[in-house]
Amino acid sequence: MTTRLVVFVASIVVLLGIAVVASRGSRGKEGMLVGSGVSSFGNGLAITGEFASVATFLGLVGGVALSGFSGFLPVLGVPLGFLMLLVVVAGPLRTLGRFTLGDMLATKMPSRGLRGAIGLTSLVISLVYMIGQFVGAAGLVSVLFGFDYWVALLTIGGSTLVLVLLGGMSSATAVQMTKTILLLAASIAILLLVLAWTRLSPLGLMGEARDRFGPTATAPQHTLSTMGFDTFSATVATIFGISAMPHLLVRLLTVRTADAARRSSLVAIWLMSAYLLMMGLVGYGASLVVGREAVAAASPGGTAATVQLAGVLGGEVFAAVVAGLVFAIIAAVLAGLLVAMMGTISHDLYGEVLGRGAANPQRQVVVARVGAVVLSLVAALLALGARSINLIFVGSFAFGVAASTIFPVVLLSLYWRRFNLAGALWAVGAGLVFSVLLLVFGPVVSGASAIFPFTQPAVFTIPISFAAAWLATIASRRDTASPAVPEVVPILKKGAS
Amino acid sequence: MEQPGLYVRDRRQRRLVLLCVGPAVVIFLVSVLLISFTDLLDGAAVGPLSWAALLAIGQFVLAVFLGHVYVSKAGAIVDERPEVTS
Repeated sequence: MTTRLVVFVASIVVLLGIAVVASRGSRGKEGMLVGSGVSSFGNGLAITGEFASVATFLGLVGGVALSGFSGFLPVLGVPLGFLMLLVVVAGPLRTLGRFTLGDMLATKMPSRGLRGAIGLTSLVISLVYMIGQFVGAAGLVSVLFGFDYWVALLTIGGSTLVLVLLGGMSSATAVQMTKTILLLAASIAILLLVLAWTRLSPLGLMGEARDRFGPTATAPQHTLSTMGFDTFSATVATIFGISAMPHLLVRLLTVRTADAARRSSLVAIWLMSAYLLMMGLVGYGASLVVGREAVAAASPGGTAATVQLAGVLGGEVFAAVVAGLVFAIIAAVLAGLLVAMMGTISHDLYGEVLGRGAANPQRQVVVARVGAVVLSLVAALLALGARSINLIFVGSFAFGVAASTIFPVVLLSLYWRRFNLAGALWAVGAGLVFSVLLLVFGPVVSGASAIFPFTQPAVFTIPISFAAAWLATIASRRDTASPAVPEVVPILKKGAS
Repeated sequence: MEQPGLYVRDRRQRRLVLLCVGPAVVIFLVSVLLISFTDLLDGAAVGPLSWAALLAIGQFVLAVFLGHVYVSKAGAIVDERPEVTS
C-alpha cells in the first residue's frame, strides 16, 4: 500500500505540473473555455481520453473477465457513436461554433430561450454524468489506496478543481492527451504481458477461455439479466448520445478548422476501437490469469480485475502504477466535464442568455471559475449521498438524455429545412421530461412497483423527442429562422463547386 | 424559405452523410437485436470466435473504414468557414 500511496501522490504532482505548464499562454475567455488550439492528432487523443473513463479501463475488463463476450456488449455502440460524431456533428460544430453547441444552433435559431434550454439540459447531463464519475472514482480510490470514501472524494474533487482553475481548457487538454497516451501504453503493456504469460495468441486467449468456461465465453449469454431490452436501449443511447455529450462536443472546438475537427474525430475512432478491442482481450486474460472467482471476490462487478491482473503480471510496483493511472483517468474525465460546464455557464447562460451577448469577457471568466467551484461542490455533495447508486445506469442515463434532447435538435437543424424554434424547444422539453418520467416510474426509482418495466428508456424517449420536434414544427406557422448568419466569415468552397 | 447557416443544402453532402451513416446504423441495430434476442449468431464462425463476436469486431472495422471514406470525401464537398470571427 505504501508504494501505491507514493504513486498516488506522484500522480497528483505530475497532473498538476502538466496543468501548470499547459496553462502558460492560456489567457482570457478563449483560453479558459476552448484553449489555444491543438493539432488534429492531439485532439483525437483528447477526445479518446474524454470517453475512455474508468468504466472502460476497469468495468469492461471486469465484465469480460466475469461474463465473457456478454461483458463486451455495453461498448458495442461506441464505434458507431464516434462515427456519428464525425459525420453528423464535427464539421458544422467547428465551422459555426466558437465556445459551445449553442453558438452553432444560434446561426439557425438565434433564440435566447433555445440557448437557455440547451444550456440547462447540457448542465443536467454533465452533472448527472459527473456524479456517476465521482461516486465510482471515490469508491475505486478508497479501495485502491485505502482512503475513506469522503477523503477520496475530497482529494479527487480538489485536484480536478485546481487543475481546471489553473488553465481551463488548455490544462484539461494537456492532461487528457497525456492520460490517453499513458492509458494506451498501459493497455498494450498489460496485453503483451498476458500473451507472454499464457504463451497464447489473441485468438488462442479466447479459445482457452472457451475451453475453460464453455461456449458462452465467446458467445452471448442469453440467461444474463444484462442481456435483452435494456442492453439494446443502452446501446442505442450510446450511439446517439456520443454526438450530443457536452464534454465531447466542446473538444471539437479546440481545433482551428472543420477539417481538423473531422480528422481528430477519425483519430478518436481509430484509438477508441484499438483500445476497446485490446481491453476486451485483457478481460479474457484476467479470467485466465487471475481467475473468475478471484475477480468476483475482489469486487462484485469485477472492477478491480485490471489492477489484480497487473499485480499478478508485473508485481506490486506495476499494480501501483496502474492504480495511479486510474486516478489520472478519473481526474482527466472530471476536468473535461467541468470545462464543458464552465463554457455552458459563462458563455451560454451568463454571456448570451442573461447578458444578451454583451457581457464583459473578463467577467465571464470569473463566472466560469466560480461556476466550476460551485458545480464541483454540488457534484461532490450529491456523490456523498449517492454512494450506492448503480454507476453503469447513471452513465447510460446521461447518454440517453443527451440522445433524447440535444441529438434530435442537432440532426434536424442540419437536415430538415423547415425545422424551427418551436420544434427545437419541444424536442428538448419532451426528451427531458419523458426521460425523467420514465426514470421515476421505472425500476431504478420505483423498484418492484414500477409501472415502466425498463431501466434505460432511451429507445422510447429518442423517438418521442423526434415526434415532438416534427409535430411542433409543422404546427407552428411562424418561421423563427434567422434571416442572416451573424458574425461568420464568408464561405470558402473547397474543391468542386 | 431558405434557411441560412446550419441547414445542409448540398445534395452531395447529404448523400455522403447518408452513405456513411445509414447502412452502418441499420447493420448495427440489426446485429445488436440478433445478438440480444436470438441465438442465430451463437455458433462458431472462425476458430474460437462466434458469429456474434465476429460481427462485434466487424462494427469497429466498419466504423474505421466509413470514417476514412467520409474524411477523404468531405474535404472536397463540405462548405468550409475557417473560423467564426468574434
